[in-house]
Amino acid sequence: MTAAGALGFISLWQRFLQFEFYHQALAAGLGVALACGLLSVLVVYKRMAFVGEGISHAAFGGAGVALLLGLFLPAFRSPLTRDLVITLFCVATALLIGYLSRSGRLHEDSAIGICLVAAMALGVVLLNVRAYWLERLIGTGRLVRADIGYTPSFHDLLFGNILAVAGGRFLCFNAQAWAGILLGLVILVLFALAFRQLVFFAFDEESAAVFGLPTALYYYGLLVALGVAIALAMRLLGVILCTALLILPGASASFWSRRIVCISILSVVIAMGGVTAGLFAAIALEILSTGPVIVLMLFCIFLVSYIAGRLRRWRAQTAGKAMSSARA
Amino acid sequence: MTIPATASDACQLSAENLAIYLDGVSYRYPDGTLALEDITLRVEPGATLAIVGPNGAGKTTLLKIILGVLPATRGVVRLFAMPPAEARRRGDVVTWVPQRPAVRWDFPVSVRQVVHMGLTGKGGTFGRPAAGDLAHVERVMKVLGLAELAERPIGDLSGGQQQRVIIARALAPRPRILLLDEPTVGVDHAGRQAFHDLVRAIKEEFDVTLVIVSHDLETVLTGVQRVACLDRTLHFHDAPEHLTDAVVARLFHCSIHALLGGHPSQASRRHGDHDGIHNHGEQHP
Repeated sequence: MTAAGALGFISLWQRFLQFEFYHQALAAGLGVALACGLLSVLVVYKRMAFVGEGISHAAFGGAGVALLLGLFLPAFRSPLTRDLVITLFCVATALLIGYLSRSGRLHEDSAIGICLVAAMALGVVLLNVRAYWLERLIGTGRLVRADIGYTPSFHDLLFGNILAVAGGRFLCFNAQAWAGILLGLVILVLFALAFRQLVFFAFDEESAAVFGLPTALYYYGLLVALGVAIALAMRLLGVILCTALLILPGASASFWSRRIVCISILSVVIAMGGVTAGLFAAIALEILSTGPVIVLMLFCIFLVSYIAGRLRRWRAQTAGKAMSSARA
Repeated sequence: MTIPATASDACQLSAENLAIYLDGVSYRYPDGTLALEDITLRVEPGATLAIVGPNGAGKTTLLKIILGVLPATRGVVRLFAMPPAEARRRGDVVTWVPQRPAVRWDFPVSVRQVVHMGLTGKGGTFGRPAAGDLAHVERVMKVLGLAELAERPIGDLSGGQQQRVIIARALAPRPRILLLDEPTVGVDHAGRQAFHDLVRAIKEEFDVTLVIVSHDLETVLTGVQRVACLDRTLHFHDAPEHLTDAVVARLFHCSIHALLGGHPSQASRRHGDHDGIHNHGEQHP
C-alpha cells in the first residue's frame, strides 16, 4: 500500500470517528445485516425473493401512513413511533401476502404483485395528501414547520439515507441501532435453536408438515421476521433496495460451499461485510444515500462469488475428464 | 358393509388394535367433485398392504387423508386409535415417501442431514435428536445401502439413491406406519427388482406397517400380503399368488376395478358384492 493510500484510509477512519451518527448507522446496519444474512439463506432456498420485494414496497405505504399520522398527531412525529407504524404495516402486508397465497385462490407471485402496487400507490397518495395539508396548515398558521421535525424525502424513502438513522442515544446506541441489534440477536438465537427444523422446512415444506412440524407457524413466522427486518433495513437501504440484503448474501454464499451451515455463516459475513464496506464507501465519497453504495458492494461480492463458483466447477469438470481419460 | 367372520376377527376390527382404521371415509374436492367414496379399510400392525388404481383414482388423496393432511369429508380415520392429525404431530406414528418430493436436489445438505430431518418432527421445533434415534439413523442408512454415501451432498446421488435417502428419512423416526406413494414411477425393470429387495429388507429389519400405493401392478405383486384396488372406492381380493396373467390383463382392461389380496374380514366391499362383474377373487377358497 502506498503512503498516500494509507493516509487516505487514516483520514477516512478519522472522519468515521468524528461523526457520531456514522457509529449509529454502522451498529444498526450490522444488526440488520446479521438478521438479513440468516434470513437470506431461507429466502434464497425457499425462493421467496419476490416476497421480500413485495414487503419492502409495503414499507413505502407504511411510511405514507406514518408521516400523515405525524402531521395531525404529535405522538407520531418521533422516529420511534414512525418506525413502529412502518414495521406494523410491513408485517401486516407480509401476513396478507402469506394468507392470500396460502388460501388457495391466488398464486404467490400474483398476491405479491397485488400487495406491492397497492402499498406503493397508497404511499404516494398519502404523501401527496400530506404535502397538501402541510402547506395548508402552515399557511393558516396552525402549524409551525419546525414542529414536524425531520421528514424523509421521496428520495430518502426510496434509496435510504445515513442521516435517517440518527437520533437520541440510550446506553450508547439510539433506538434504530438498538432495534437492529435486537432483531439480529433474536433471529440468531432462533436459528441456533431450530436450525435443523428450519432447514427441513426450507428443503421440503410439504414433507416437514407430514413429519409433524408446524410449518404454517414457520411460514408466517418467517414472513413476520422479513417484515420487521425490512422495516428496519429501510432507513439505510431504502424501499427499492432493501431486499438486496435479503437476496445477495445468501445467493453469493451458495457459490462457496455445499454445506448449509457454512453457507449460513458466510451469508452473515457477506451481509455484514457489504454493509460495512458500503457505509465506509459512502463516507469516503460523501454520499448520503447509503442504499445504492451498499447494494453495489454486495453486488461486487456476488460477482466475485459467481466467478469463483464457476471456476471451481469448471476445474472439477476438467479434473473429472482428465481422470476418466487417464483411466481409458 | 364389513362383516366380521369370527369373534376374533371382530376383536381385531376395533380401532384400538389396528394400525389403520378407516370407516366410511369420503372426500370431496373443494369444487364438489367426489374423489373418494365410502372407503372402509382395516390394516393390522405389521401388515403390508398395496393399493393399486389407475391415475386419478384418488390414491394420493387417500394417503393424504390417512396422514391427516386432508380432512375426510365424511367418515372416521384412526391410526393406532389416534386421529390422524394427532398421529402426525407426534412425528413417530406415520411418515411417508412422497411420489415426487418437491425438493431442489441442489440444496446444500448431505445424505445424513436429510435422513436426520426425519427426526425433527419427533422433537418439535426446538428439540434435539436423542442418542438412540441417532444410532437408529445410522442403522437405517446401513440397511438402505447409504452408509458410504452419508457425507455426500444429495445432489451428487443418482435418482435411485436419492429415493433411498427419502425412504431412509421416512424410517428415521421409527414410524409405526410407513406410506409409500408410487415408489416405482419412472423406474425400469431392474429398478423395480431392487425396490422389491428394498421392501423385503425394510420388513425384515424394521417393525413397520407398510402401505404401498401404485398404478403399476408389477410393483405390488411381490412381497405384499394384501392388495386393495382403488377407483374412488376400495375393493379387496384374494392373495397375490392367485393373480394370473389373464386376470392382470382383464384388470387393466376393465379400468382396474378389482384386485387381489386380503382377508375376507377386511373387505370394504367384495367385488362380487359391488357390481358382480369383477368377481375373479371369489373363485378361490
